[in-house]
Amino acid sequence: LGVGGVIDGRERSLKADILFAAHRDPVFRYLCRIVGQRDASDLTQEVFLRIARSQVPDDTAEGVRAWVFRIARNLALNHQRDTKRQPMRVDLTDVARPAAQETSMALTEALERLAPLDRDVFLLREAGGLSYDDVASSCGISRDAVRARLHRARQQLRAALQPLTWEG
Amino acid sequence: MIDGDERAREYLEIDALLDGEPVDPHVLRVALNDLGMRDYLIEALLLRRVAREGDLPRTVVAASARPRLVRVAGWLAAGIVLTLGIGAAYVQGRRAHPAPASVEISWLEPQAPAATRVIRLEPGVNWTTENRNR
Repeated sequence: LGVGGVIDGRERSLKADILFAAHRDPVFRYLCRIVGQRDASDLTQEVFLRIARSQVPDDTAEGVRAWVFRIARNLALNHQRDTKRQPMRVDLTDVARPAAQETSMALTEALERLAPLDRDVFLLREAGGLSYDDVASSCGISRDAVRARLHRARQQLRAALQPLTWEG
Repeated sequence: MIDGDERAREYLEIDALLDGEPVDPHVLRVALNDLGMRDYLIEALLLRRVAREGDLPRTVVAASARPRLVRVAGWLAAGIVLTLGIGAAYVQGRRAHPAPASVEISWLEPQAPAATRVIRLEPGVNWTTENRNR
């Protein structure tokens, strides 16, 4: 390993640290909705381990974010395939906010009923905070498809959660 | 009567507004005049709130707001473990291999590594062919 390799390694590590600080929470939230809290912790670590071992693309901040979430999405899909679990499992621990907890649980159940790609688009946008272009890049679909799927997901979730109050 | 396509377009403009994407002001103005569209906007906002915050476990919130003291304590503990480990290894090493009387001299004279291979150079040998590996 030469000096160049050491510098590359340090630069990569620094970039991974920055990406971790910027995207840890959204990535965790996204994974939490897909694989559940317990596995989401492990998968979040795995996402950033992979990032640390990879060459971060020379792209805009949005492009890099889409890349991070592409890794997270692939890991989540692999995890679902490998474990053959139900796609949605969220462990709720917030006992102080029962109304919010109830709403959250209802959302989890409603998410399970969505088409997988609609659910991904919705979660990448809402839990991950990605733009339409970033979601399109992460999922490998067009921007118009993102808009259509996101709207459909919102309408279905809205309909599913109608009986609930929105307070809490 | 509002055309179905027009209605769908208005919904997409509300979505775009909600998501910080470019909007068509004219279509958005028409959409926001509709009570049903405004309800959709509000409920989509609340849906986002639930998706982002509703199930964040306390452990995660606590971890993200973890004070520096915890990190310092972690480093301190790691330092203590490392120091104890080095000390224990040193003591164990001294017990297993007592230092000779001339220890200071041998430490001051670093030894070159032993040669692993001796190559005899001979005139007239063609080193670019199979003889290279001899």
